[in-house]
Amino acid sequence: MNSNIVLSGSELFKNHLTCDHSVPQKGGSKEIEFDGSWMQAKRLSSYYEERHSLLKEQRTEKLGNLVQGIWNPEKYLIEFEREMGKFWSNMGFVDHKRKWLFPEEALFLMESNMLEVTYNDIPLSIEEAYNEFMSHGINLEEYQVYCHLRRHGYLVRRHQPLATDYEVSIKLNQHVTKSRKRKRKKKEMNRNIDIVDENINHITDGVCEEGLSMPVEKQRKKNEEECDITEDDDVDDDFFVSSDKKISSKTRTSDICGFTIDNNEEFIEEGLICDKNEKNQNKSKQFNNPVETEFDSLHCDINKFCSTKTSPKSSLEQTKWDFSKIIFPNIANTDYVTVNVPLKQYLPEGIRIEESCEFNVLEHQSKYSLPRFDPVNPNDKDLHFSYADWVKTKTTVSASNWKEYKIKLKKAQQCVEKDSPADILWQGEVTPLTRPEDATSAANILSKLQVIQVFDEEILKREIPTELASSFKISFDVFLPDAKFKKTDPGKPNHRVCITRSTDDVPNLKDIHENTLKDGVPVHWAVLDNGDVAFYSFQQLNLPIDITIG
Amino acid sequence: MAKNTEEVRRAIEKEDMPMTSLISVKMSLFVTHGKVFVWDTDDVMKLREDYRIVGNLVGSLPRAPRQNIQLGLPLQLAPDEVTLLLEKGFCELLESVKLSSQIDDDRLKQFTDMRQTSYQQQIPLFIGERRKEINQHRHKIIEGKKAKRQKLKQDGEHDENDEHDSIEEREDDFNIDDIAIPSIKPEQAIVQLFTESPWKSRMTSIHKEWQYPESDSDKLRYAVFKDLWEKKYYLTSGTKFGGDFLVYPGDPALFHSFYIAVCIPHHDKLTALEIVTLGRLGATVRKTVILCSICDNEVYYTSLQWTGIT
Repeated sequence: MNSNIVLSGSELFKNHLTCDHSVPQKGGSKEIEFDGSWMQAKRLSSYYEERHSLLKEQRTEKLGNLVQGIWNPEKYLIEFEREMGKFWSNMGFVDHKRKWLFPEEALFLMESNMLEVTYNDIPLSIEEAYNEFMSHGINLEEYQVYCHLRRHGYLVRRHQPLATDYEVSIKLNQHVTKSRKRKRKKKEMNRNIDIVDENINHITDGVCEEGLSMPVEKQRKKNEEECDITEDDDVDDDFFVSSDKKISSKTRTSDICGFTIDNNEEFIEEGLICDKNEKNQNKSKQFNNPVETEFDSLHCDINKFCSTKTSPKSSLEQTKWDFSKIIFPNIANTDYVTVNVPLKQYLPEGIRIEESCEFNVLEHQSKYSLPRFDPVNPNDKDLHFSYADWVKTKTTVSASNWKEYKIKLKKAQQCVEKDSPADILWQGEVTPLTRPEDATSAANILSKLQVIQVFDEEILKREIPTELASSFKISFDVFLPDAKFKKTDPGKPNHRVCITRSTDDVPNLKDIHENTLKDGVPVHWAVLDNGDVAFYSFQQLNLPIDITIG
Repeated sequence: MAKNTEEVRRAIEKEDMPMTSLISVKMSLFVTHGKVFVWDTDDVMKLREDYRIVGNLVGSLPRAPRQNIQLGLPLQLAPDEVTLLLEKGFCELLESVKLSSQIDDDRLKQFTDMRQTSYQQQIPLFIGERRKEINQHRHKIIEGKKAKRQKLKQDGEHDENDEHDSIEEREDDFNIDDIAIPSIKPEQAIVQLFTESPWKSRMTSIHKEWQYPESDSDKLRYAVFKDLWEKKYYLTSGTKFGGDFLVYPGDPALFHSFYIAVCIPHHDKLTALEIVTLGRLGATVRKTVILCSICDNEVYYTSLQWTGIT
């Protein structure tokens, strides 16, 4: 062994006893000119002396305070037998009852005087660990960023695949991890079927308690809950999506639910949809969520969802549910709905339903719908509205489907426009940018005046030449220090970090934005220059819009 | 001993004696995954003091590992610095050999012997330290014993005479050397966590593939680095200020840099805006931007000055 490096027992003892944990000052104030004076030489020599003694300090620790790890060069991981210290709460992972640390975590702990990693029973020095650990799964640059953030106190984990806000809201991310567990244990699978059976019982219980009208509704809701798609979402999306796409989304949902949902619902609304539509569009712009991508993400969610659901579905089939035979009554355009007797096999034992049941739709609607504005009603009579005149003249449009409704609404609006006294303005070559009917809100008018498109939509649509399609990789998820942090369920990270060298290409804006847009976690770009770390982030800036008239 | 020779060597070097005649062994730089590190403290100091090579400390500081203000070994060198050191013949580039999966009995024996000797050496030191501690708190211990006895007496309500007390009081006093202090367990011993490998001599081979600079822009960078270094400046990376290098008149710890060196190929076309950008940058940080380019293997410098006339 190199005797220059190895400290003797007494040196170790002395070192540990007189250990100073303060961080020394750096250099002090700087001078501008080199004048070769004695003072400067003195300062320099004392600086060098201080630096030398600081760098010469060795890492010493009580053997009992060190956690022992074993380097596994086949797996590129560090295994350890006992856990100790706080680091286990936010580092490492368990697999087949063995505890592992990632190399970057182990090396950082080694540098922090907390861990001793052995290989063939001999502890590795940090120099050897640099050589051995950094060759697989992680490179030196990534380690330097990891270490930099860790030294600052952040909690850093290797990047986990993104879950979109939508996936999180329907708890799909949890579902995926659960289903993986299920694959491992068949017993749990059986229990899962039991739960489904319980649900069926629950539904059929409802049949006797609340009559036959409700269970259909309830059943539908139940099924939608099972599919994790709420009706509200569905409706909102319909406002976003063009009619063709809408239908496809509808049918998709209905496929999953196992029902055939009738599309022939009548929309009777007074220009409200139009307004809402525009509002929604504005909203979507504010959130930088282009309509298409939102829809696409929904689409792929559904697809993902289908694929993950397949295994439980096959188990569902064993439970006698044949969805093609469960008929969903059409309550549109009718006063009464007849609900047929459900098949006996779907009913719990001891319950009998002899005849089909009639359900009064109108009565139900009047019971549950909110009262509307009615000029004849004495309470509403005195109310005054500051709508423009054309709003009052707006005709009621009725249509059997969404597409038809839109066409009819457009026609109806054209009729109104002709009546407008401002119509003369559109007769010349130069026309105003907005129309009187756009004056539903200040935001609406401003959006009409916005000639320059928000750039992110443009940039996201742009195709990158394949040779430029960079190897964009998010390396780490960064969390703020938190005592309650759980590595098994870390939640949404506060930051994400991608890494490049100062000589490398800049990461593609598209990549960064796509990742940021998915769940709103900012992606930071770490630039490394021979060990120097600097962080940058690209942020979209929406120029502020002044609204002076309310 | 080693330190003395080091001092002598430094003293001699300051008188501009040729170094090669005195130092037969070249300094070792280690290549790890394409990066070059220096692990030896003396080498790090020597690079800075004798060769004006600054590098960048990237490891955690042993005494305070969880901060980024002051960092410790290893020192990472930029490729320009490495090529210069190799070209000047100050250093040699070594490559670490992968750890062998074979159990090295000899090495294992050396290591266990080392730990064992260290542990044995520490036992008397620990005991001595414990004695010292006890002695420091001597009066407190006696006080405590007395109080305990008093309490026992009150609880038991025994009526003892004063004579007995004085005997007991004498019993309370103790001779430190008589106390048997248990020796420490192995896990209480202090061990060393090696930053630099203690096995260096056995695990290295000479690295031959160092090929910086290769591209034209790297060649320009290196030529500028070398030229400025030969003009006795200290150089560090310029990324902090958006240039290639920062140029210091003396050690960067004590002096402000006064130039930002930006390497631009001789025939590159620059727009006025680019020049203005660089000029403004220099003006804001109170440094002079110098544009560096090579023509016929000679480096040309052009400084930018913002006149301030509006």
